Amino acid sequence: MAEKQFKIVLLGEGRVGKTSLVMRYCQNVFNDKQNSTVQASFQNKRLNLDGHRINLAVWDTAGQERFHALGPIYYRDANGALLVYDITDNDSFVRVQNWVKELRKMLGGDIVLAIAGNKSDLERNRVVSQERAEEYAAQVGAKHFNTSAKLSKGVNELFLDLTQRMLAAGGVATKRQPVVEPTLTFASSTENNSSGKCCG
Amino acid sequence: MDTQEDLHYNPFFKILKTRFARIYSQAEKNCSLICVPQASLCTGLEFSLPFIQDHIFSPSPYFAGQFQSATNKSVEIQDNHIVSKSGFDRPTRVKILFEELFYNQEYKPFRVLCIETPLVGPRPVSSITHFPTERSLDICQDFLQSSDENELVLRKIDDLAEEFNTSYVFVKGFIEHARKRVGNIREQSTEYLLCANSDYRKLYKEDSPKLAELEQIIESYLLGKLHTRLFTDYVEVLYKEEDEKTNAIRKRMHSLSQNDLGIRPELQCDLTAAAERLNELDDLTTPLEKLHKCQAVIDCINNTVGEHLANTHSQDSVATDDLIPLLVHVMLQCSLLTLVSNLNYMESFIFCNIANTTLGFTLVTFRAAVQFLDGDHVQRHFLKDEPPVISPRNRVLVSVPSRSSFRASVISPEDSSWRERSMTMSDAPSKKTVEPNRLMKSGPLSTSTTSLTNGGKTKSTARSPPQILSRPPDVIDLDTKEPSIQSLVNKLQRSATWNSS
Repeated sequence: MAEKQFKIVLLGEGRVGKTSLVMRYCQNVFNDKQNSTVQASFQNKRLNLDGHRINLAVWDTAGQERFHALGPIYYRDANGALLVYDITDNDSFVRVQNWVKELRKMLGGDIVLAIAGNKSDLERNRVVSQERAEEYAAQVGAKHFNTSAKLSKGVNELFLDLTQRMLAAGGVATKRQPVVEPTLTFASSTENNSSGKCCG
Repeated sequence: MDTQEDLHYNPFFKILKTRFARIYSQAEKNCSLICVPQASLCTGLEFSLPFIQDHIFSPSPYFAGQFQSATNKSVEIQDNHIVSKSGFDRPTRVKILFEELFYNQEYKPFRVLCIETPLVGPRPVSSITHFPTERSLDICQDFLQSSDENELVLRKIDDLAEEFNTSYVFVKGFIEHARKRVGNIREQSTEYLLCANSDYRKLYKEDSPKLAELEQIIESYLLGKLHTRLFTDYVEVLYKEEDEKTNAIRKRMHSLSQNDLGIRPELQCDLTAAAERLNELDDLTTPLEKLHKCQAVIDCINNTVGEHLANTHSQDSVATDDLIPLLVHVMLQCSLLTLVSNLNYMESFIFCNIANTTLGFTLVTFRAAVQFLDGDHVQRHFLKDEPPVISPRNRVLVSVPSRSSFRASVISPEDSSWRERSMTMSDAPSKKTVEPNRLMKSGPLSTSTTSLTNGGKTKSTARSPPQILSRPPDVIDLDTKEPSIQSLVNKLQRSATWNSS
């Protein structure tokens, strides 16, 4: 059966718990003992859903300001994005909004977005109200989830929904290039003309 | 590399879903844990009802962490193994190979584990060709040469490689063309071997992940034959300037501490072992084995930092924001002089699909680290006392393909208005372009390259317009940062005049 490849880019500030959120879902039951070669920045999960075999690859993405120029290298060919903020930290929510803007600019409307308000176990310290977060998500065509990596709440729903929407959006990893990818008019036109002629 | 079998072709799983459909749908509904013995050990097995039932478990009602089958056997998962607890004839411990998550009709998840051998009954013998798991050139060569059936076609493949080595003309900026050619030879070689070897042909019919493994082995064999010509004579020459530039930057930044590089204090530790591994990159031949070495470097960083964190009882982990400066640190410590060449070699001449695998992520992380070294941030923060280094990629170069007409493109990924300007520029004049074969033979064509800064490019150089390697390009060098569009036009016109005179 042909396997569908989905690339999800993961964005969130350092302390919002994005890695544990993804680990919660992707870590396999037999790997609970934190085997030492676990690479937190890249994780895979194989799913079987509605008769599709799916390989989810979650790419943690450089988000610090000093790595701003490197973002597009990671965004390339992404089908979905998971943006994580901490419900007790307003700044982390503001950052999410900036990334959404950037992703829309680079990848257009095709990319499927999910926004996760993590640490929902700390409800009483919440500073980002749920209404505000949901309203924002609806505005940008994203879906909002309350999650707690700690209590494993909302995690399955989040990934299931994200995967279903990516399936609906097309399924095959498109060869779409980020907009910033330079288009060398001269180079490409020459190359096209050349196929088969040059050195052949 | 990620080449686990596809459970939909697994005989045990197929029979469970067809002949024992009722049991399967019950298991689905109850979100049971299903253990599937790997396909290569399933031939000759009898799939009786109790055998099937012995492999389907529900959480034990009595003991947390234990699972129980309908046949009253209970197991536990320990250390990547299924371990028998009670109800088994003899103590059993079977390795888990991988896990997949299945969703039932109500979208509730249940787990399917692929295990090394069946949990009950005699241990069966493998029926399917085993491929070496390593991708080093020697192992791949030995593997292919070990089969008599391959002998003739391997000679044919050697001839193809030899023909490429002696007759292919490399043109600067046409790395994509070279890639296509090598890709064709790779496809042809795979075809030859599939025709010649009946074992391989079987794979073609039934098991696509195995076929992908075989393709990697053939790719390694082929690239081993092309290495000197492709890497030493071409890629290394092509990226010499960039290598030198990066080496100069690395030399100047060598004494920077991990603190200077912005590595979080919790993560700072000695990474000499990773740097030593990176030094070994030049000892390797094929792009695939080089990439595996890069993977080893990343693993080494993750492990070293992971151990360090474990020693300090921290729950912290290494995110990409941490991994990049850590890798940059390793790059500053290592003595490899051909970092950029190697990176481009891997990016251009790996053909198997690594996009959504750890290897793909590793390659992108290496690109990110190199680009960071080359970028504005480093320039501003670490090298500010010294005159800026202008790399070939930081120049605005313009292509002037014919005497009277020209097209130009100026790109700055950071500034989209530049793109618009460039489009108006390039669309205005004639769309005439240069044919590559004309380019290679004729002298006076002034063809030079475009590219400015490096923001979003992963394969910038692969897209550069053509230049013949031996002839120095006719480069119009413009002031880097903010050349006004007028000055660009002026220079272009001047160059066009110069060309026609």
